[in-house]
Amino acid sequence: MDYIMRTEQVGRAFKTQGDDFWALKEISVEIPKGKLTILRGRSGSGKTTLMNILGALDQPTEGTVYFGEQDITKLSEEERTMLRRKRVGFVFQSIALIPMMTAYENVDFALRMAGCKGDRKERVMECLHLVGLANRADHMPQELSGGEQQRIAIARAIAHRPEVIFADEPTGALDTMTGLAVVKIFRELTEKEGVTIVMTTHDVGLMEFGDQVYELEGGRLVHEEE
Amino acid sequence: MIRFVLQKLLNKKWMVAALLIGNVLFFGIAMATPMYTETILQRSLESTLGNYIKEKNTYPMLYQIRTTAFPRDKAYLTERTTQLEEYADRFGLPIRLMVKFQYITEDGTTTDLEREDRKATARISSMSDLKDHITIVQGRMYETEPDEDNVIEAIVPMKSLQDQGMLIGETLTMKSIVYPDESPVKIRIVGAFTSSANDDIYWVASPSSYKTGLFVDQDLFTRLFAREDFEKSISGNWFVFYDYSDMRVSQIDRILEETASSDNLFKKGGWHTTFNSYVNMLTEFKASEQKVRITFLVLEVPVLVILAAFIFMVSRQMLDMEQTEIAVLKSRGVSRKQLILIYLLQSIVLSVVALVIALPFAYLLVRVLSSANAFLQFVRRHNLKVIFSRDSLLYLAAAVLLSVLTMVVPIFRRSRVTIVNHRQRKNRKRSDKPLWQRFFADFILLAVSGYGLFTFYNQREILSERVLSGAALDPMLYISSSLFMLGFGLFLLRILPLLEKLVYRIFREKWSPALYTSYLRVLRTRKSQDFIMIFLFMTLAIGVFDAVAAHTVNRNSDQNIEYLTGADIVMKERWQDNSDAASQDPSVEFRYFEPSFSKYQDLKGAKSLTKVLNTKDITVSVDGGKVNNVQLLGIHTKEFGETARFDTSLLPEHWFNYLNTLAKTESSVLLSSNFHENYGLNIGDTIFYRDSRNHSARGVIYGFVDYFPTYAPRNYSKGNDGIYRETEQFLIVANLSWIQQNFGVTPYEIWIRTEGSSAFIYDFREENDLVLTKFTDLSSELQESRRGAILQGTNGILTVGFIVALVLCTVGFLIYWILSIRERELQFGIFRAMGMSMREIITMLLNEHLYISLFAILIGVLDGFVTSRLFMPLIQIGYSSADTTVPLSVSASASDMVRLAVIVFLMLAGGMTILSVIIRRMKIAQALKLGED
Repeated sequence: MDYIMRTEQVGRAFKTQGDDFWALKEISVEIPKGKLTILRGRSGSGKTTLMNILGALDQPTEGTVYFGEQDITKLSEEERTMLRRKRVGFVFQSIALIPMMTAYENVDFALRMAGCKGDRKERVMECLHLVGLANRADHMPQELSGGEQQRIAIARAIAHRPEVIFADEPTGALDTMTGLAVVKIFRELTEKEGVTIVMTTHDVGLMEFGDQVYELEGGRLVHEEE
Repeated sequence: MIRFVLQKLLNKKWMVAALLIGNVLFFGIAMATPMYTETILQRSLESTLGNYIKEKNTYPMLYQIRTTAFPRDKAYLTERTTQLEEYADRFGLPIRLMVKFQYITEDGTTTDLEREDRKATARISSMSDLKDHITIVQGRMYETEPDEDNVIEAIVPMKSLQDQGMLIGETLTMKSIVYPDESPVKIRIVGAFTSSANDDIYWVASPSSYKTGLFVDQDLFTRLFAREDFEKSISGNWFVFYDYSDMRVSQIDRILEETASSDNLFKKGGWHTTFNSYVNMLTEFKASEQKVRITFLVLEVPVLVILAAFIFMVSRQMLDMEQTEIAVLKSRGVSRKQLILIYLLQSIVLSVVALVIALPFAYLLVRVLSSANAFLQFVRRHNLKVIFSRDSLLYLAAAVLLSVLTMVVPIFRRSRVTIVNHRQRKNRKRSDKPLWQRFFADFILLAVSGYGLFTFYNQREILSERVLSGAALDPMLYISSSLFMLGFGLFLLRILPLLEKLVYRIFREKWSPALYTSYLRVLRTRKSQDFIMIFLFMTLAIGVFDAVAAHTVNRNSDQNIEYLTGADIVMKERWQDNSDAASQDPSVEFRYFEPSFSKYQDLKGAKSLTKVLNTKDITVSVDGGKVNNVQLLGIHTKEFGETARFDTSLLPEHWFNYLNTLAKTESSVLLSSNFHENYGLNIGDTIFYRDSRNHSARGVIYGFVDYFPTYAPRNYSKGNDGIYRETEQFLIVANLSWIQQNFGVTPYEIWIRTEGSSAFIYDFREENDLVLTKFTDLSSELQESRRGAILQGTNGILTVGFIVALVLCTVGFLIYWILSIRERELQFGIFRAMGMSMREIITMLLNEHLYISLFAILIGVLDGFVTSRLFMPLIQIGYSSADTTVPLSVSASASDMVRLAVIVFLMLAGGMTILSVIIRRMKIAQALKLGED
């Protein structure tokens, strides 16, 4: 299988009053390209920390992270910013749309960020179509339901055609039915568009959608299945 | 519960600090205002009393009673003395000295002088404690008992020896003044005296004015003459000198009341006359005191209002932050009453802490303020007494109450909210337009204040007449100006988005994501920026307004003094004349003897000087009569132009052109324009003007002027009814040489332009032993004017207003930004996750800054200037006096504006630094987690 990302012996310690607290320890995972990878675990298991490290939002205390052939732990702050801008996209648990922008503008903003020149309108509408919300383009986030907002967030994450999309508990704030709909969109994206998606969840019911599942507990990898 | 409240406060240090700053300033200023007013008034009272001595050469706090008692009333003379002594105490002032002067009313005539041909009149007198206030120059002090021949010993003032031809050792037999046994009173002169010190207040009239007085011991006088069987009446003068060194403004009412009741009592009791030197002075002071109080209060109100608004803003913000907390507390069963109690407790804790700091702060503030000399300028003043007035406590209590209310009232509405409707509310779509825009508050305010402005402009004359008669300016005027300031600022705030939208339309495709985002935020979250923008622009507008007001008031006062004085130094020597000779022999022509002018030729420290004839007793014949009391200025045009101080913008052309025209022909004159307006005189006409001794001169009119150094076109004088009326003044400017040819040499003034300091003139005066009939030093006049209560207080209060405005502006600004960042941490996290660099986020904030703070600041500055342009011409009427002549202009000082700009810049830069530190410290990963509520 073709892997787009992999980690080697990654650990992440947080300073606490006494000893360092290791949120992650000796994690080695591989993210297959064009597939949906699920990081599973209870709250506090370290899955979000791992995802933040994968997405270059956070730096590991030890170990290395490869994006393709590049060791991204060696990148400067500036380079990591550029990496996030061009090559990855994020969907967060808390519905993280920019409140003063319409749905359309939120998606458009990702394109602006990535520095897309020329006609962005077509791509924005395309992404909104993908998540089935083209008719809500001019609505403000507050005017949309939770599921709709999360779908807009997904549209935003894919707009600039990133290589990997990270979704941290994308269904966490949604009811089961809506959550399921969101994960179905992810599946479609991997299948139709060939996007690589990494998603964390604590919901056992969603396991079946993953091409690859890693399970974490207490900061360690405990289970792996394909 | 207290622990809960304390814990709660500790958790919000920023907000609590801001609330404390607001409250300390609020309490401090509320409390300091009356203290400051008292302090300024006290100082003004002291200088009024001090000037009284200087100007009138009379003791200011002197109560005097004069009476004559006939023989049958003798007992009552003593009685009344006791009564007066009792009464004197009622004024509440310590008595510095009480002098009892008694004499036999009828002058005795004596014939038995050594030389029979001389007759002398003498008045047998006695003064209490005489021996302590005299020096015996010849002979000795009197004995207190008559000798065996029943001769009483007396001493006389030195002057009597010369004028009355009295001799030491001589015994006088008073022909008409006899003892009950018909034997005449015999007095022996044993000594002559002068006063022991020059400035002894004891001598209300100098010893030499008692030239008929034969002074005998007072006890002896009382024993021998103040008896019913003594036939002559006795006169008495009582002088009560009050010690005013510790006199308080608050004592004035009592002093005036007691004076009136004493006057009544003594007059009713048959005492003839009472005099006091102070009733007029103190009554005038009372009138100005009222004016000072109102003016100070009115000036202080906008500062207090903006402080209250600040406290309200911060506590509302704090509540917003606690909204979730409140909702949770409620859902856990905390009752509304308990909730309100918690907030009440919290505001009380805050107030108490603020109060503890505010007390010394108020004291400090008064001290600092009292040393304010001009706007933002301080001098060291020693012996500053800060007066703690009862009003201070009243103001303080009101401020505390208001502050607690401001902090607690918002909770009443919010305490109804439960967690459920809190969520609902959070998700509700907000209306785009702020309340004031929907209700057109800006237009309403502009209309109301515009109407006020219009009305006051039409009443200018009445307004200034009222001020001249001692009233304070109508507070409505100040209120109108504040309303206008708010209205105009809001109006600008309304049109600002239109501009922004235009810019957005043009650039939205070209901007970087950071700029684009900040623009969107500025446009779409207008409502949440509204309060901070209003607050910022109002604060700055008040700051600018205060600065302009202070500068305008000071400058106009200075310019007026400069104009009326004419030059840096104006002095006139005493001229000798031959009036004695001329009055005895009509054939001798009256003439003056000119003091030597050569001593001025190389006066060091003087840049230039000139002779100026300046008199007001000229008569001009015009069609249908005469104009009297015309002012005549006789000048040497060139030197006058170099020496006099004159703001040439007062005339349509440069005033040198007028001087040049005047110099062309010897007989040419410049006249005040009212000659043309009232009497139809025109350029080229010839007039004749004559002085008080009927010398006449011909003048050919070369020009008309509205203003000329020292010339006041209108004089205001108080009529008998106490109302100020305007009288017109006329002016002739002529060549001095021409006047001297026609009038002869007439006393002139010396006008001097200094090289910067006027100190040299005092040495020069001393060295040359000059006797001056007029001396004005412009620089000390200017300083003196700054000591006036109104001007000084205005400067102090405006300085405080300005500083408070800046402090609040900075704090308000920081709070807003810190909060807006805290609120948006999640958003920044998203931006960072999407690949926005730190630099871009800071650019974004900077840009938001620009649009919110900078525009608010610009609006404020513009608003302040416009408001002061419109209202200052009216407001400064409140500062005009009867001698205000120069047209008043509104002006801002460049240095004040630079100061303002620097402070605003520092505020923005400082704010930005703090913000970038906060942002840099923010961890993206953590920021994102914060969102997971």
